[in-house]
Amino acid sequence: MTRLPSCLLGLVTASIGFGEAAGSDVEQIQFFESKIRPLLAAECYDCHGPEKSKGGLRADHIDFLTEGGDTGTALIPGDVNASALISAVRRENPDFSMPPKKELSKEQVTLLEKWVEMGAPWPEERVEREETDEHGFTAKDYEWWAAQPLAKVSVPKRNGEWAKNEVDHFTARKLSEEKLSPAEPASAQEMVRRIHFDLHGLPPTPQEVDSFATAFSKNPDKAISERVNILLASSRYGERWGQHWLDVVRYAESDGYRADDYRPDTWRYRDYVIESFNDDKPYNQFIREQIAADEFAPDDPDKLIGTAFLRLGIYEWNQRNARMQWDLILTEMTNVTGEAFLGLGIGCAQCHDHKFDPILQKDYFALQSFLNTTWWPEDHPLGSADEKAKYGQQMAQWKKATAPFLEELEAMQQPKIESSIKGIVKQFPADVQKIYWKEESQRSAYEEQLAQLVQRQVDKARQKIDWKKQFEKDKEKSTRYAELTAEIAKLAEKKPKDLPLAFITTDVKPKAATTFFETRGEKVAVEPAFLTLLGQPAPNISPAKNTTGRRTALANWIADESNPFSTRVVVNRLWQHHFKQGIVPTPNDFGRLGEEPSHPELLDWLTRKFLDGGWKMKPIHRLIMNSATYRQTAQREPTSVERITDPKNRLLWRYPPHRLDAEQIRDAMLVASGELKHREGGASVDGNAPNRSVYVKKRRNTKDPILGSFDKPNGFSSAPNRISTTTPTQSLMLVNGEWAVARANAFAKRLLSSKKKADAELVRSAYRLAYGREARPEEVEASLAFLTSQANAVGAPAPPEPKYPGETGLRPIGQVFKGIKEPELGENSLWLQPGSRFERLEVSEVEWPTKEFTIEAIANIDSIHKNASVNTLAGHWNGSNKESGWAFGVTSEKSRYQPLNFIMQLVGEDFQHNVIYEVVASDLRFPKQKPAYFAAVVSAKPKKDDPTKGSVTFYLKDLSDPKAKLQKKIVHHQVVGGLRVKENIRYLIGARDQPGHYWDGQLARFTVTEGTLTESQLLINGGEAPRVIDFDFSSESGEEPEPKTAWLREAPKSSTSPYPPALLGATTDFCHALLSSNEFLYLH
Amino acid sequence: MSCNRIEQPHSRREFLGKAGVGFGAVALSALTGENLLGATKAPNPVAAKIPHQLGKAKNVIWLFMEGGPSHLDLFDPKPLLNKLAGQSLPESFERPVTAMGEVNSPLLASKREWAQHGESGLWISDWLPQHSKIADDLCVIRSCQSDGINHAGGVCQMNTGSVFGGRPSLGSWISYGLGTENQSLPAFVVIKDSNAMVVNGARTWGSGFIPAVHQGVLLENGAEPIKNLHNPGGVSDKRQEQKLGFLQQLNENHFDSRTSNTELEARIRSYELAFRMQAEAPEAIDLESEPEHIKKLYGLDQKETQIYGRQCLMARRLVERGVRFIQLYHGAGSKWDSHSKMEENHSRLCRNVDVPIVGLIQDLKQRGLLDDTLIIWGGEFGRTPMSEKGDGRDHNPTGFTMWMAGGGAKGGQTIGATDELGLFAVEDKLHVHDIHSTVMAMMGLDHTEVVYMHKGRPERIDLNEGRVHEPVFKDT
Repeated sequence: MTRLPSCLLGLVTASIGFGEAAGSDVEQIQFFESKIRPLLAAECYDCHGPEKSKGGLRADHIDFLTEGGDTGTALIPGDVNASALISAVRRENPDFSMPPKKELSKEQVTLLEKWVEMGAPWPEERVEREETDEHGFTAKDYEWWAAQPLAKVSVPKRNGEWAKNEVDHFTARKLSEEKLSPAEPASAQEMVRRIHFDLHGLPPTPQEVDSFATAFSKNPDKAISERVNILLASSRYGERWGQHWLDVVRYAESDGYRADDYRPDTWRYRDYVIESFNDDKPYNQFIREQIAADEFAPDDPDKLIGTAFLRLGIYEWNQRNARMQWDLILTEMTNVTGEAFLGLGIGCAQCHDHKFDPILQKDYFALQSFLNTTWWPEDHPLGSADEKAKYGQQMAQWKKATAPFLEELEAMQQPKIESSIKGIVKQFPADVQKIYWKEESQRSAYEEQLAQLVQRQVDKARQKIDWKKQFEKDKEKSTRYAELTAEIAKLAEKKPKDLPLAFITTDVKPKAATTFFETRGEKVAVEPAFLTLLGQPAPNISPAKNTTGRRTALANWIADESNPFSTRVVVNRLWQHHFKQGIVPTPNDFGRLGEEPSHPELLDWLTRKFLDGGWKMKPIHRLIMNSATYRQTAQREPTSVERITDPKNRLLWRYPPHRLDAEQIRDAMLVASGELKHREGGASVDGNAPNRSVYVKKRRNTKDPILGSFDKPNGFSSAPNRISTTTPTQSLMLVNGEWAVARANAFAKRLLSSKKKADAELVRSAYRLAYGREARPEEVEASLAFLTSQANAVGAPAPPEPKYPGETGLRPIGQVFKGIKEPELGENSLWLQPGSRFERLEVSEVEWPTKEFTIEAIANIDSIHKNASVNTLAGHWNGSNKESGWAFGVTSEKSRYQPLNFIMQLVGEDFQHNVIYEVVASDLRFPKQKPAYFAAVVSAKPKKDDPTKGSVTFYLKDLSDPKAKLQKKIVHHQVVGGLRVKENIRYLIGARDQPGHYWDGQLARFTVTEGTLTESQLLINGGEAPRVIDFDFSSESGEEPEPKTAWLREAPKSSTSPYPPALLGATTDFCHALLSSNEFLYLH
Repeated sequence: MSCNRIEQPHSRREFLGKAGVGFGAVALSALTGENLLGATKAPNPVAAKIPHQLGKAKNVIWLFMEGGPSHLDLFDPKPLLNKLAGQSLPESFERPVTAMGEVNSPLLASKREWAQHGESGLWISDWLPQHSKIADDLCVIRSCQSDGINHAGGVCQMNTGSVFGGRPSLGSWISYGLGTENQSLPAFVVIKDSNAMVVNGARTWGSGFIPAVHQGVLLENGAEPIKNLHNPGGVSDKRQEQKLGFLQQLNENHFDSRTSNTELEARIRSYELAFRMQAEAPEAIDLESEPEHIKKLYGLDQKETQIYGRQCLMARRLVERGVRFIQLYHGAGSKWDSHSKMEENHSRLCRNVDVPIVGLIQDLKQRGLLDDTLIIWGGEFGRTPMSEKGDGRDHNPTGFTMWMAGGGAKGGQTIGATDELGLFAVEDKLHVHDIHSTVMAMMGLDHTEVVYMHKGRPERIDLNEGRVHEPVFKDT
């Protein structure tokens, strides 16, 4: 930034002597320099200067002012009243007052008036206006550092012991220029953690720490170099460094719009990236494969999958504005290509010539035109030529075998399919419909792309057709449909296993689409070309068999040694991940809005080295990691000199301390707890799986809670660097979250192993596993003290705390059941709260009917279990499917009967006296968070007409909806006897006699009647019947809400854990603290 | 280049020295409500910052009617629509691209009774009978425009300015620009009316590329409103406190020789904040202590209104506690979306919100909070004059209504207009970018100055395209 010397920037406060100023030229210039220039600089240049020129106006030379901006001339020398500048500072027009937010003082205004009046003298006769060429570029534009060819750099000479290799000579020179000195070398312990986290993203094991320390004490250089080689040879390396690339290419596995559909085949690209790193695939090849493998290696699945890069962007499955949609897709593809490979934030040039970089709007569209014929096929199988041929053959055979049935089936389906297609297509704008109905051969490439966008929606609708339902109404058709599908199913074995679908990109036609760019209302066709600034000839494009060949030309340009951007950009990324900051700190923007390189010569030297080494990354890792620069300690506080000279540590006067990133944290916790399971690629896993984070499913709209919380990027655009945030919700997750607690628990069990107490050895072991170092004696002491006092605090686990203090287990009836007149309710309802003291109510001393009975209840449900547990309102069952019992409840989120299905579970005897377990599902949905009446009339004895069957008649009514009807469903089952429940099994409300499966909600009325009630006898119909139990919770005391009931508050059964609760609890807490601590989360 | 406006935490070592023994004392003072930061400068990145200029509003409550309410049946009467009902859109009208392709379907009459209300004579339909009481507080903007023809793009743009995901939401920008006034609650809170998810999931209130501390925090239904707010199962307060004390001790020892690393310090602090949040958040949203007449005002006594009433009442409690930005989703999961049976659907939804919204505004007013609190009402778009499936309307992002009240908004006025059928905004058009810029201005922020450098580009809420529409809050 250009700044005036500070002495000129002071505000004008002195009173003004007009007489003196109006005199000679010299005096005029003195007046200008002492009063006017500082005033303009302080008040105007920020918005009207070389950096910004709001309203097209600059105020840093008289010529600019007289020329004026968008609204005309700003100053007429000598004419105060006609000068817009004066009018603006006088604030004559409220819409045109300057400066906008701050009124100038009267003195300042007077000074300006005086100056204009004297003819606005300005000493520099000519403005330093930069000459521009026919493209509008200045000489300075051509000097843009990033666009220059790599400089021929010789390694600086430097004496002394510090340097280990060439890298250090560059960094040492910069440091000494600024009179800074490097930090001491890191200790073996600091070094080994750094190297492991850096190359593998994982902490070293205690054994790895020890072996390194031994080697390091003998020969540190050798120890480092050997360890780096070992780690580079392991496939854990690709899992770590592949992740960096996945960030850059906005990798995610879902669509990212409303439906956020999961993309099951995307992970193959992730594996491709990991393998490419592990193989040290030359980066130029890596570039070519991702941009154009379909053009030069269409039959090599291992390369072809690289083109997934171009389709990782987001997609909206039901967007009808097809033109806009394609435009968005293409724009996204162009921007990510520019950022990922070229380090150019070219997005700005989409709408106008780039304001800061010499990139023209035309350049943007020329670049886009390389990509403009692409398409994302949905039906390409991924396989080698042989595999595909074999598959094709088998498929043909299968088709032949099934032909008689298949053809008939398809004929049956045809009318519906046609109407479905029409229904979808007509939702698109008329012009797009026309294109869709054209013959494919008549469509241009662009039209084909639009038609394919429509086709995707057509296909989706077709997949959704429920054929069984379609034919349901026509008995004949429905029978025939069943027969045909059965016949086809018989031949299923002959059907070849589908090849994986290729999540790839290719061109829609060999003839390119036209890219237009609009300038001043004119539409101009643009041909593929490279950045105008570079002055390179237009590319030679040779069409391939099914493609335009354009992307090959683009890939070759990017992957060319002489490309100044791509080559520096990738080397900068390598440096960046080793030092947490690139030589250019804005890795996706080498333009003028980005920052300039701290070590430009080093960057060019390293890049040359990289190219000469065949574009391979591993040699560069070695070079960097064996340097003295990399080996500095991070554990050194800045001196006051460093704070002032280089507060951001860009010159590397120490190794930068930093927090671990999301994947490192999650993986390190799994390593410490001993749970991490390695795998070599494959489909993505749930975040709860004990695999490395790079394999965790990445949905755009639903972040994994752990990874998302630690700033894993969301996958909507290229993310060149991670941010590291610290938030209280993150802390809550660490100290209270289930996942973190589970890791601490596993860590504790690992430590305890066969121990009977938490001793010093356990503490030392914990430090080694969590921090990779020995515990100091005072740390051991403090830890032991904590373990002891914590064991006392754990004691026997306290009963769960009430969620709300003062809670009694009863709530006023009106809270949930207000306004319900029929059936009659009491004053209170029972609040069943899992995890509280009011979790399960035991009912005692009642004779239980065993063959036929009716349960009725009025209740609501606040939440259902996230897993497949059953939300049990009442049960007389211990959950075993061998011991008699029953339970009355509704299903949870992951139930295979669908959530909120009102069910009975029965364990009894079938007609042959075998003990069987059966879920009797009503398929009636319980209304969540609404009061409802529901009843089950259970008959567990043989039906008269069919001795093999019993029945349950279900009733359900939503009481929140006055118009709701009583729903009824009779379901037959096979439990026809033996429902006599053992005495030791308790009769519970809110649960069955087994941990889990709790009801979360309120219960207003609960009855049990012997025998099967008829519909008119039900409570809801005002019916009368002798009820064995009839609770309406009118009691005063929530502790005993009805006679002969009591909250079940047994001392928890001794857990299956072999450890005493206090020991395990205290050790878990100790581990939990270690895993949440800064020493664990930071490399500092 | 200018840097991002993230305040680096200042040293708190002196404070810890005073507090004595680390977490125990800190936690205790948190529990007793003493201001922990009284003695020191606020090192919180979202601590309240000074607005760029004096704006009136301090807080925002955004009543988000998700799915797209029909402006044609609520705030923007169109007599011509009823005259032409049954016919196609006249030839003179441009054909927009619609979500379901209903461009040429017959025009659908509005069945509403319309009347003018308040001294200002604001038009409000009979679907919102209670709103007559607040007519003079409402600044109805009939000329809103968005680019999202679908819910995903529409909700995304209404929140972040772009139909394309990944950018920070308005609440995040405001948290970034203004910080928070309550150190124990998030600056940006989101509440929704059911367990259904808002379109696009949590990224709707995400912070995009700005630090996560500014993202919205969803208050869940049920006993644990903020994720991980309670001690892990079976862990007593004493045990938790001792554990956190030990953790704090580990962190203090580690920090001792690394005091220049402000991130380490920030994390030590964040555990304290988490602990305070754990203590204070449940109280902030516990409505039981509210007197009956207040509950009634918000409709908590009626089944149809109690859900949104609870949200509105909660919002008032949060505003009182200094939460900066609150979004109340009604109809989460696009329930206002009325492609068919609009009569049934909208009647019910309007009944759900009519009393609670009016209650909220009246309550804020009687407490003197309305001047500080900007209320925004609207969905991601409006609905078409053309029918769909005979009795519904399609999405209309080209012209629809939102309103603002409080926070300096000039009540009792109508801004802008749609064409004679309510399809396109034609007068004083306010694109979403302009709405965002205007809201920022009302919060005292210059939308061109609240800038975050991202990938070398200066990013703003309005994608460099918005302008402040001053008549919303200034006499003209």
